[in-house]
Amino acid sequence: MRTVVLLVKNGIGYGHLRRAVLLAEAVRRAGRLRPVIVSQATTLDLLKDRTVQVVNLPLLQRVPSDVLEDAYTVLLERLLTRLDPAIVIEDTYPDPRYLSLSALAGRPRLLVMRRLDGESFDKLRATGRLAAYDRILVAQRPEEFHDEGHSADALAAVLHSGKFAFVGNLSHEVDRDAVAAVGRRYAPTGAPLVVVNGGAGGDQLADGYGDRLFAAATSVADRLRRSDHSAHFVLVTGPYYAGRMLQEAPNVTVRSFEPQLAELLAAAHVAIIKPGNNVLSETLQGGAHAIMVPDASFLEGLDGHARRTAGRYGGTVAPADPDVLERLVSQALDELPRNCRLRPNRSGIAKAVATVESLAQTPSGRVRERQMLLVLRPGPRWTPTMVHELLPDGASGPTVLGLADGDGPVAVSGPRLASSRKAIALLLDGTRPDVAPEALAGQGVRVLITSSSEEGTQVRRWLRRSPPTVSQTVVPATRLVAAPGQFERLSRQLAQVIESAEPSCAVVDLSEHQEKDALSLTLRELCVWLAEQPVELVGPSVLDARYVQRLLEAA
Amino acid sequence: MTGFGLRTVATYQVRRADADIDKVVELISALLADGVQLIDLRRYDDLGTYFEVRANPKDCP
Repeated sequence: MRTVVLLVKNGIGYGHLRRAVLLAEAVRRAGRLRPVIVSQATTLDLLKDRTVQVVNLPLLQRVPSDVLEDAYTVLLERLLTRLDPAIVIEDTYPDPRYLSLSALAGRPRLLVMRRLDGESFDKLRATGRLAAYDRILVAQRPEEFHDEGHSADALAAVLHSGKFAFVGNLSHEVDRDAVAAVGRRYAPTGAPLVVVNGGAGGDQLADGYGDRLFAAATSVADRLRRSDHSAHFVLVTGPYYAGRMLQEAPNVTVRSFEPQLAELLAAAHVAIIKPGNNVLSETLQGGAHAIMVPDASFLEGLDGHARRTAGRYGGTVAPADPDVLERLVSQALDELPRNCRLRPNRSGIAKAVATVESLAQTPSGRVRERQMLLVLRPGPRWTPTMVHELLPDGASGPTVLGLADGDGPVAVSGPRLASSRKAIALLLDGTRPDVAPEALAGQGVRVLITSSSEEGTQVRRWLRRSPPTVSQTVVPATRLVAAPGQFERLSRQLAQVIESAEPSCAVVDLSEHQEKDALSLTLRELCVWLAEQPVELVGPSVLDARYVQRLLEAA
Repeated sequence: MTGFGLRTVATYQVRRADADIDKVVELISALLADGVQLIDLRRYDDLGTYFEVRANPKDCP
């Protein structure tokens, strides 16, 4: 059985490791690959009693000597060579250290990416960090991804490069059978539970977030106890908590780590949490009223996410202020449990496992033929259908401008869309579109084909003045004229186009053909010649994906 | 035995010959092949001159 290696780091939070364990256990259950987690984790809490194998290193950037770091790096290199993984999986933040390991060169790579704020995503994208992956699974639903406020280039890259897929949020599923027992463990008398958690407790900016959160929660607990409220507080600090020592009280239990935190949150009536991805997801699976206390975070933008979550699932966003929290907790304790709950995303896990297994089957590398979008422009004498019918039987690849066959969308339209509403590419032909870019995008147009550098400059300026939500692709094309009886000349011109750019685009004008027989001969010669060349004719969607993939490369 | 039942099975002196790393990899590979679930290499000395190989004897299901 081939091995799949999950490379994951866990410095101040649990999220990456937790997701890696979740995916690794799902891969193991499927039974076709053997997962091994190679982690850099500071704590092993989450790795206890797991069903997958783990080799854990320290955080390599924090070891005390260069020689030790070198030794670990060599060990990592040789261990990965020995494991010979069929696929390598990383989580959210591409690590340059892994990119430089020769043991990983040429292996299929998958990145599982939980939510990032727009600015952070663009930083990774524009520095080329995402380009090395064969597939990237976004652990969000498409509408949630859109809500993050991503740039037009980021949206184009995610939606049209062919590298990304949305699998929805990947988080631990609450064990419903264990919820009541966990609740009784902390509140044997059935008192309502208020659970407080800030993730693993790591402080992103060392500004005392954990200290403020738990101090405020302790104060609220004290006030409620004095007013004889029966609520019981459970403070799960996380192993990285570095704030003041927390004292237990008759209505306060303090834990550093709770292996069944998801079930505890599900048993709670109120959850006061830092809205990191995992804890928030687990909270939303239960009926607890979520009081989200966002703060500085690494590339997550928690404030906006907390507000959006409150709008979607209920709950409130609050500062770590005991006066505010006391009011919110008291109100929430008087209310019935929250009804709008997050459903477990089993199909997302299944899709992720299927992607892993599919990538593990990646065949040997092959050199792709040069790709070209070849657009045949009929001219006034011929209709697109007539040109299409004159193409030899079985000829596929040349795209006839304006062709509207009954089966599928029109591939390329002329400068106006009136006659072909489903075109995904527009041949501008020296004429700027008469609608705004966003309106054009709304009609499904992804690709704008220009035929001179001056026109390309004008179009880019037009797009900058009124940028669409999702970046459109501007493709330079070479215009050629096919004259009757002069195919050799045309073939030499086409060869130059194909060799000058990869992928390339050519628009061949057929209007000089007056006779049907002559046009038929030219098209036949064209198709025979193309079949002999190392070129693959592609449609505008493929061309779009190739151009969009450049948005993932370092500028 | 340490936390989670981890026990030290080897130590690696960083300044030794590079070839020793292969022995550590051999050891880790053998532990994995034996079904050991958790192998931890994160314990080292303050000066960064050696690290330990610790393992959890628990079998994988």
